[in-house]
Amino acid sequence: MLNENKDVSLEGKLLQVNEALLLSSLRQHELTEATELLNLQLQREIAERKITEATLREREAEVRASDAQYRSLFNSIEEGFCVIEKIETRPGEPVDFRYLEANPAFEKQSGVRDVVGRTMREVFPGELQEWINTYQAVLEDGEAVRFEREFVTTGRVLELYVFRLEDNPHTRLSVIFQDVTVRKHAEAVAQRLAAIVTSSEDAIFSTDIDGVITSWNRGAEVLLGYSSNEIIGEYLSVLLPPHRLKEQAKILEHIRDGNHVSQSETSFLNKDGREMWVSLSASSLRNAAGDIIGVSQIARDITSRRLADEHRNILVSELNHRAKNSLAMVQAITAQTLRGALSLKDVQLAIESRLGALARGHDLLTSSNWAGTDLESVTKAALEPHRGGENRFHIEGPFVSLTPATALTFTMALHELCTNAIKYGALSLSAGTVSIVWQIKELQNQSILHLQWTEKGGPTVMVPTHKGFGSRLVEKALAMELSGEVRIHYESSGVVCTIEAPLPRLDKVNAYGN
Amino acid sequence: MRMATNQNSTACRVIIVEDEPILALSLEDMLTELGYVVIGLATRIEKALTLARCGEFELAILDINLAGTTSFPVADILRDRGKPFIFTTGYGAQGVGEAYLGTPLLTKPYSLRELDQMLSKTLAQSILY
Repeated sequence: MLNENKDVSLEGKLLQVNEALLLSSLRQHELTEATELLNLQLQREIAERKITEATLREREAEVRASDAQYRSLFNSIEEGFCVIEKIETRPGEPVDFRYLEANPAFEKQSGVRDVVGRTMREVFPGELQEWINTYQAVLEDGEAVRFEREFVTTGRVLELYVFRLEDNPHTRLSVIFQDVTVRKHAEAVAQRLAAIVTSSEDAIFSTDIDGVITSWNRGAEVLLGYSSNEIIGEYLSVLLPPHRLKEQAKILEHIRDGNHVSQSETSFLNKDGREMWVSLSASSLRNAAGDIIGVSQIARDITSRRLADEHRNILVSELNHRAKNSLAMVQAITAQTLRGALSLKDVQLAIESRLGALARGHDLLTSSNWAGTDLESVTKAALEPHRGGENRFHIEGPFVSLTPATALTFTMALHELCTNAIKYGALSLSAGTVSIVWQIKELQNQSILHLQWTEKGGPTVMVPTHKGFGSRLVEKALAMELSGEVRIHYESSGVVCTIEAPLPRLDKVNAYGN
Repeated sequence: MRMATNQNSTACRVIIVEDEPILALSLEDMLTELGYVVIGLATRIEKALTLARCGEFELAILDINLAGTTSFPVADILRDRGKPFIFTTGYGAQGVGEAYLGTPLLTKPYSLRELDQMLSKTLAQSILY
């Protein structure tokens, strides 16, 4: 247009010149002046025209270059890019958009090819109306929108940016988008993992390669007592018993070499300084480049299992000890009985009855779960086999608690007194009786047990010429066990046995009971 | 019954630490039979410590387990005094603390013969060193 105008004006001017030549050849001077003027003007105009043409060519080249640049950008960007246009629809018909342009990345990002010329509803049948509504809104408001959309049909997640092209009327939109399915999936997995870590009862924490704690879950807070705020940024060594420093250094080295530590039993110190036993698994943490940047550790509390193990070991050891001790007792009783034996028959009976007494003593303790028992129970249990259906015993005294060991020795000693009474004493005659009576007397802040075994109604007692195992068991063994005095008096009216012993204080009873 | 072996020489004096009185008495008899003289018998740690500290004897026999505690403090005193001793236990070798791993050990129940051999060996070694 511009060129045409210029041409018209130049031609006009040439016509004007010819006219002037024809009409006024006399006005040479004027003509010359006019011609010179015209030449000048012509030259100026031609020069101007040349400049304008150059500029135009330049601008065209620029536009072409810029266009090429944008085209190449359009073709080479990773993101999908398209221009869509709203299709004219009659009222009541659903809104739809047609693809005018789509870059090569469109297919890769959307999974759909050859969309140009087709409409959204054709390309993505079965997708939700709300998607098209969003586009419609952008078209109406002119406000660009960024949103994510998970495709119902493919499960693919796209992140889209939609903006209106400024033409009039507003019918076209540009959409830049990319497939974020993998990222979304990774995010979801990460969230799930984070939820597992958070809710895990195991202590899960991580350190950098220098051993500085970088994360700390709720399980770690519960197990080791430190809140994450307190402990993050501290060295892991804060949690280590001194003898484990080397071990943990070894674990770190092992991990740095690319290995994994699986369920190794170790211990950490909790905030109160208590040693917590754990089953520890550790593995390396790597950055995107694959370099080891830290260590993650999972510690499962096995303190209660360790305690149960220890408890079981103690029980097994204790059981073994008791069995061996019982055998040693049987051995001692047998040996002692044989020592003073007069006849094989005597020995047989004595061993039988002594082992029977020992067994009854054990029964009594087993029924009290080896927590100890009391003097009255022990006395009744020891005398029970010798009652003979009649009540020839008088038992009376306050409650006195006995440790298992004392109860056992008491049982054995009472059995010996009984056996002696049956053989030689009050119980050898039908009219004979035995009274076992005790009191507790307080002397200088110490409770003293006074017990007296008194036989009556038996034959006249002779002082024995030699003391056998029975009397040693009563006078020596029981005295030792009680840390007291035990005496057998051979009164002619009947045997009297006196026991005087300090009673252990309650705290001691408990200690022995345990 | 065997004859006492050490009757003619000056009898070797022994102390017994054993919390079960019947076993203590039995051991006393066994020692007497073997020709030893039992000069002290303790069933509790307090008395055992006093005996170990002040007693005049050549050898001690200690039950490791004493009414819920151990007789290691008694052993410490004996070691300081240079007195040889033998442990007895119902627990087996694992009941011996690390500090006393090499100490002669009689596992209950033991026979007169085992006791005799252990005593002779222990005394012989204590004379050697």
